[in-house]
Amino acid sequence: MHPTFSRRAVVLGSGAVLSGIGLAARGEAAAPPDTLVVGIAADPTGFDPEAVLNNTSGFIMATIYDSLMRYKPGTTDPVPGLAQSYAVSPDGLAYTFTLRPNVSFHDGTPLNAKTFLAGMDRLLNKSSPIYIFNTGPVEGYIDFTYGSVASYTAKNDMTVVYVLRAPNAPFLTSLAMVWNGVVSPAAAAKYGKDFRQHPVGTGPFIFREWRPRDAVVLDANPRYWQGKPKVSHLVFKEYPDPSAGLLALKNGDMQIWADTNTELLPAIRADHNLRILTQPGLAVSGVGMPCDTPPFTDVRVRQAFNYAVDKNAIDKALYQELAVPMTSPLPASEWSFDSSLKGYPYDPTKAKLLLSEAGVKPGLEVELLAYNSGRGYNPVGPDLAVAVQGYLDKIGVKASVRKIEFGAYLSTIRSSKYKGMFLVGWTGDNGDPDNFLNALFGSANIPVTNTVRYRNPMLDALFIKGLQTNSHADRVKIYRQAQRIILDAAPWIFVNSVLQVRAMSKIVKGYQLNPTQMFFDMEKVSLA
Amino acid sequence: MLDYLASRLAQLLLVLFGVSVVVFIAMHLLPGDVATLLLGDRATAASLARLRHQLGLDQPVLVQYSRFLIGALQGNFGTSLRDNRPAFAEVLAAFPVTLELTLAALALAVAIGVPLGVLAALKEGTWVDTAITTPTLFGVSMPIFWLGLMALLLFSEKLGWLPVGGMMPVGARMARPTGLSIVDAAWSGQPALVWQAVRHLLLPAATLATIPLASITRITRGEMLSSMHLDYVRTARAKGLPEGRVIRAHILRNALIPIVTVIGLQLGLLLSGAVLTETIFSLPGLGRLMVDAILARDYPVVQAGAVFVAAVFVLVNFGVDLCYAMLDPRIRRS
Repeated sequence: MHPTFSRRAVVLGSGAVLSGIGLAARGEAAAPPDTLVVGIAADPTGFDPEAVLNNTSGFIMATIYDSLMRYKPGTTDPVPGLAQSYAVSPDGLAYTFTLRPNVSFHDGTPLNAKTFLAGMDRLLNKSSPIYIFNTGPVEGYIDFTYGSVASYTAKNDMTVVYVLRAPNAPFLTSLAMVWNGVVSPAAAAKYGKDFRQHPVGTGPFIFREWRPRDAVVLDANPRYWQGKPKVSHLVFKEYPDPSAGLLALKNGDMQIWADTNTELLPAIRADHNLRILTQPGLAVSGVGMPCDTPPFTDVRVRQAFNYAVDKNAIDKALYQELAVPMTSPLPASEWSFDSSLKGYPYDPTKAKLLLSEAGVKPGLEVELLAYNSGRGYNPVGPDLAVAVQGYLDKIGVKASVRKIEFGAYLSTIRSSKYKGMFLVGWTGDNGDPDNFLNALFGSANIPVTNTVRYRNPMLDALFIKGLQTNSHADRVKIYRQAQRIILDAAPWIFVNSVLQVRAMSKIVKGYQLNPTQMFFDMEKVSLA
Repeated sequence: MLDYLASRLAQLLLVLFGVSVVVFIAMHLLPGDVATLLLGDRATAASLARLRHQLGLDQPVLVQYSRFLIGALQGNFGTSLRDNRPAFAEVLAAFPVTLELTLAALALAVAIGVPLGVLAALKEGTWVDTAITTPTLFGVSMPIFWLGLMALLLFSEKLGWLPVGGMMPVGARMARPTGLSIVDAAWSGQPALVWQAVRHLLLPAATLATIPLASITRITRGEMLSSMHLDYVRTARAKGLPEGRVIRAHILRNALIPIVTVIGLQLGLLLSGAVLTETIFSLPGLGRLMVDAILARDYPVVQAGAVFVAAVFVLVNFGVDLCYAMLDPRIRRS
C-alpha cells in the first residue's frame, strides 16, 4: 500500500532543481558597469550636514555637498572649495570669501552671497524660517565652527565676510569639514524637517533614493564645477555582516568597502583582484591617568607607566599591525606632527626605577576602566585595557580592568571624581592640531575632553597663541613645542594611532584615502 | 461569536498596554544615554542638555510615558531619535521585508515539511524515515548565522548562482508601493525584476526555513504516527476507503491541529524579525530595525516596534484559533 520512492530519484531530482536555478542565474551582472558600489556597515541617520553626526552619514554627504573650504586631497590642509579665494585680516578677525561663480545647487538654486547667507541664517538666526533647531534634534558642529563668529555679511553678490569675536586660526579648517557642507536654502525651505531625507547640495553626486538599512542611491551631477564624475551612479550599500561584505567585495557586488573589517584582511590579501589602501588615521588611543590624583600627580609614575607598555607588541598582537605606536600626542597625519620625537620605548627596567624614585612600592593597586566595545580610534575596545594590565603587572602594579557601557564610561571619567585609570582616545574633527592638543590637554577643556585633568599654564598660553596666529609656519612651531611638553608630562600612556584601512577592487581607479575618512573627491573615481 | 471577538480585542489591548509598559521600563533601565550615544566623545554638558531637551528626555519618566501613551492612542508613536522620522512609519516600512521573508520561509517549510513528515511516518523505520528525520535533527539545532554564511559561500561565492544579499540588484529601478519586492517587481511590469526578486529571496528564505521545516517535519511525523493506529483509522480502512483518502481525511486531518499550532508559533516568531537572517543577507527588515533601535536607545522606534510585534503575535494566535475551529467541528461548537 505504501508508495515507494527510489533513492536515486530523490538525489537526481534535488540536483536538477538546484542546477536549474544555477543555470538560469549564472552570468547575470550584479550592477551596471557605470555604477560604483561602496559597502557600508551601518545605516546613515540622515543627510543634513549640520544636524547629523555619524561617519556613515558623513561618507555619503561628502559626495552630495561641498564646503566653503575643502581639504587638499589626501591631507587635512584647507584649500578653497566653494570659495574661489579667501583673505584673512591681519588681526585674524575678518575672513573674506569670494564665492566660486557659476555654481548651482542640485535643485537649480544659484550659489551666491544671498543663498549662502540664507544657509548661515538657517544655522545661527532663530528668526530664520528654516532655522535648523526647529527641524528636530541637532547633533552637528554649529557651535564648534561658528561659536567665535560675531557677524556674517555680504560684501557684494559673490563675497561674504565673517567677523570673529576673537582670533580662531582653525576656522578655515573647520569650514572644510563635511559637517559644514553648504545646503540649498530653497530645498531646506521646501522640505522643512524632512530635509534630512532630501539632501540638496552642490557636490559631485545628486541624491536620488534612500532605502533605510539597504542602500543610498546617487546620480552623477553633470554640471559639477570640478567636472562631471567618471561614474554615472554611486550607491552606498549596507552589508551589516562583515563576512557577507567580504563576499560582496570578492563577487564584484561592491567595489570599495568603506568599513573594511580588519579581521578579514588575510582573506582580502589572498584575493589578487582586491587591494588594500592604508593611511595614518586622524586618531589617537591610550590610557588616561588622572593627573590630580596620587600617585599620578607624580610625573615619574606617569612616565614609568609609559615605559612599561610595549606598544609595538600590542600593535602586532591586537591590531594586526594596522596601528602605529604614538611617538607624540599627535597622530602622524597631522600637519604639525613632530617626527623627531621618539615617544616612550618599551623599557620595564627604567619603569621600575622611576616608580622606585617616586616612592611607589610594588603591589600598587589601581582600577582601569574600559568601554565595553570597539571605537573608531580603538577597534579592539577593552582588549587594550587587558593588554596594558598585563604589562603593568610586570612592573608590580596590580590593575583591575572594569568594563562598562560607553555612556556610563563617559559619565564616570567626566565626573572629576574618578580616581582610577581609563581607556582614552580621540578622533580629530577638523584636522587642526588645536583639535587634538588643546581639546585633550588644555585646562579649559577639563573634564569634558581633557578627562585626565591635566593643567599646565604654559601649555594653555601656547594654545591661545596657536589660536591667534595665522602664520602656518608659526603655528607648526607652537604645536611642536606643545607636543614636547605634553609628551614629557605623560598624562596618558600614549599607546597607538590606528591606520585608516580600506579594501577595494583593483578595477577602482583614482580613489584616494584622506585622514578624515570621508569620501571626498569621488568625481575622480572610475571603474576600469 | 461577537462575544468571542470582543474578548479577543480586549485581550489584544491588554497585551499591547502591558508590552508598552514593560518595554518602556526596560529601555529606561538599560545603561547608556541616547544623547551621549549620539554626540559621542566630544559632547559637552551644554550640548548634551540641549539635545536631551530637544528629545524630551529631560522630562520625568512618567511624563515621558504619558506622552507616549497619549500619542500612541492617537496613532502617533513619536519620531525616531536617530533619524527624526516617524517611528511607526519606520516600523511599517520595515515590516513588508520581514513579512515577505517570513511567508516565503514558512511556505517552503510547510510545502516541504508536511509531505516529508507524512512520508516519514508512512515509512516508519525504513531508510526513508531515517533519511528524513536525521537531517531534521540537524535542522533544529543548526545555528542560522553559520548556515546562512555557508549557503552564501556555496551558492554565491563558489557557484555564483545567487546574489550575496539585499532584495534587488543595485541598479534596479522600480517603484516600491508595497515594500514586498516580488509584488512590486510584478507591479512594475518587468518580468526580469520578478525573477531577480525571487533570486534574492531564495537563499534567505531557505536559510530561515530550516528550523520551522525541521519542527514541522518532526511534529507532522509524530502526530501522524500517533493517529494512524487509532481505532477510527482502522475503521476507515475496514470500510474500504482508498489508502490516500484514509491518509488525507482521517490521519492527516486529525494530526493537523498540533501542526497548525506549531506553524502559528513559528509565524509569530518569524514575523517579529528574523534578525540573524536579515543581517547576514543584508535585508532591511523589522528585526534589524529593532536591534539597531535598541542599540541606539531609540525609544520611540523600539516602543512602536514592540507594540506592533505584540499585535501581530496576538492576531496570528487569533488566526490559529480560527483555524482550529475550521479543522475541528467540536471547537466550533464550543
